[in-house]
Parts: sequence; structure tokens; C-alpha cells
Amino acid sequence: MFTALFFMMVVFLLALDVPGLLRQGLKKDLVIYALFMLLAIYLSMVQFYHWPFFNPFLELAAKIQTP
Amino acid sequence: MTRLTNIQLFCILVITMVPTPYQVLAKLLAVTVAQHGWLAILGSILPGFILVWAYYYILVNSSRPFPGLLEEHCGTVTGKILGFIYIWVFYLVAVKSLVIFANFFLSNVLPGMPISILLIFIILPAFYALRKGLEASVRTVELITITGYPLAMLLLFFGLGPETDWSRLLPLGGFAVADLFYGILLVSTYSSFMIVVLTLGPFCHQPGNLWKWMFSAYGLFLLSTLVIAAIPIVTYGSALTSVQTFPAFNIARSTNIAGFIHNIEIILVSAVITGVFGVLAIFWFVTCYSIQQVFGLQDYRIMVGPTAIMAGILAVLLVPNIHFMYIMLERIFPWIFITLFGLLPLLLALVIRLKRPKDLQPGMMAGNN
Repeated sequence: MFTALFFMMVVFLLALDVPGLLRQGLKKDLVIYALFMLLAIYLSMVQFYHWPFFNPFLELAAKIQTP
Repeated sequence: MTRLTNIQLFCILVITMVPTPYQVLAKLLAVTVAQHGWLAILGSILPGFILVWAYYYILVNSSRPFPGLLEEHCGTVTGKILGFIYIWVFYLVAVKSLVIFANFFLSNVLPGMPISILLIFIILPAFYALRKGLEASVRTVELITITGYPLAMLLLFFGLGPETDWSRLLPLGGFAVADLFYGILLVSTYSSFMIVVLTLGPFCHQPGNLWKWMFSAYGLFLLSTLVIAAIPIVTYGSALTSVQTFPAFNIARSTNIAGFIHNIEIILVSAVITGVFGVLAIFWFVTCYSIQQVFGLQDYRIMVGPTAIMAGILAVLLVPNIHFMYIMLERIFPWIFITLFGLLPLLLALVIRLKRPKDLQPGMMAGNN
């Protein structure tokens, strides 16, 4: 359910931004936008499906906690 | 190009520097230097003034907003690499403000509330404000600062009840100098958030007068942090302050003036929500604007969507609980922020000074020419 809501939100954002970029022919902007959106989707999948994720801050904090 | 008034920039600087210490600095200083937090704040005055001067010097000697000015002074390749790093550090500040807000809410105000709902509640208004443009965000920030800041400070003063004992700030002796220096570093971390002036300063009507507003904002930050650090200590003592998750909230909760004014913690909650909105909106704007500058995009607003999703997810992924949040706030984040927001700008100011021909007077920004 939550994943479906999430993808609806992504589609909404794509519908909001992509047509304007295509109309203006801003290819570089579209590529950067797509890269960031893919990163956002990947991070969401990490959260939803517990995919492996390296968190440097947490690793450091754990080391500080147990010297 | 959107133009900001100097008072708007002053409000932006106050709101980027004050809300986070308001929530966490009292505890961080009590853990680090016990009752001597106020000494650490006094010790941070000189480094802070040097930092403000460095920001102003960089600002008046650059023709592009930050991080574009890095390419101007350090060359295209180095400037782009540094700019790319700054994107993520600005974003880290925005995410950190979300993490503190979520933990504050879940541990004190509404325990058991789903964190996703909480994050959507704060991200959505900031998303809308940024999509509408800088002017909408800045006007909101101006309103928040002028109304929320006095209320938040007043609440702390209300906490000075009959149990107040000013001698808890003493004795002056019996502390490690290294701890005091670490306390100074902690305070300087928050004053270094003024770096947003390098991005937003060129949008001002009168950039030449900015130094007055920058120093005024820094002075207000110092006064605020003194109040934030000292009142929990005189109310609870350093030992009790160091074990509380959010001392300011406990002060608001226990406030009772003549049995008439009490249960006023909701005012603090309102002030914190709006303050966090301000920090989030400003650092999120600077992140998107930095992406635009580094990658040479047409408009920063297209980046608001993807970064909105990432902010919400990272706020949950990066910090699993309040325990790790305080370890990161105390031991990890200060080093990152002081290096990139403090030491690198100082180095940059030095580079500009050395590269500038001797017969040339300090130039003004493009917006002032």
C-alpha cells in the first residue's frame, strides 16, 4: 500500500517536471533530474524492502559508542 | 532575479543558526563541559567574528553566488568538485534538521506517531514554498523569525522559577581545557551555518551594507545561545541537563507562573515546528541552487521533487534513534560542518587575499556594480 502511494507520488512529480523540460529541450537538466530521481527511488526501496545500505555515519557512531 | 531586503537576509541568518541549538545545544554543552557551557559560548565569540568577516570578504570579492564562486577562485575543476561536495553537506544539514525535529516530536510531543506522517507534514509546506520560488520561502521565514523567535526565547525566561540557582553556573575551575575547546567547536558549528549568506547575499538590494546585518545576526545568535545554554543549567543543574533529551521542552512543560500561566509547551512546539521549517527551507533551497550552479541547470526548482523524496527517506535511514542522533551531533557532524563551513571558507578568503593584485581595491559583487 505504502509502496503504491510512493510510486503515485513519483508519477505526480514526473508529470509536474518532465513535460516542461522536454518542451524546452533541456536534455542536460533532464539527465540530472533523472539521476536524482533514480537515487531517490533506490533509497526508498532500501527503506521499504530493507535492501543493504552502507551508512558511514552509523558505522562511525557505533565505533565511537564502543571504543 | 529575486531581490531580498537586508532585514529578510537577517531573518534568514537568524533562522539558519538558532533553531537547532535551541533544541540540542544545552544538552550537548552539558555533556561536554558541564556547567561551563556559557564559557564555551564566550570563547566562540572571536572565532565567530573571524568567520563572519571571512564570509563578508569572500562575498564582496566574488561575482557569483556560492558555490559558483568556487569555480571563480579555485578553477573550474576544483570548483566543481568542491561544489559537488557542498551539495551533499548542505543537504546533510537539511536532513539533520528533519532528524532532530522527528526525534523531538516522537520522544516528547506525540510518541507513537508514524515518522513518515511527521516527515510529510514538515516536508510538504517546504516543498510548496520552494516550488513557488525563493521569494515565497523568504517571506515565510521572515514571518516565522519575527513571530516565533521572541516567543521561543520568552518561554525559556518563563522557566526561571523559584528553583533557579545561578550558582549552578559556577565553579569556574575544575574543567579540562580540551573539553572547553571542544565546546567552542560545538558552538562554532552552528555559527558556521551562516555560510548560506554566500549563496543568498548576492540576491540582496544593498550587498555593501550586509556586514552590519551579518554581525547583528551573529550577535543575536550569541545572546540566544547564552540563554539556551545557561537557563537549563540554572534550572536543573548540569547533571540533570545532560541526561535530558530536550531540556528546553522540559522547561516549557514545567513552567507555572502563579498557577495561572501553565501547560504552555504547545507554544514551544509551534515555535520549533516553524523554526525547523525555516532551517529546512533555507538549506534545501541552497542545496537545489548548488545543484543548479554545479551542473549548469536552467532552474533549481526542478530538483525540489527528487530531493524531497530523498530528504524524507534519508531522515529515517541515516539516524536510527535518538541515542545515535546525539552521538552524531556531538562527535561526527561538528567536524564535517566546521571543516567545510568554517575552515575551507577561511582558506578561500586567504586565497582571494593572496591572488588579489595589491593595487586593486576590494571589488563588489556583480549585484552591487
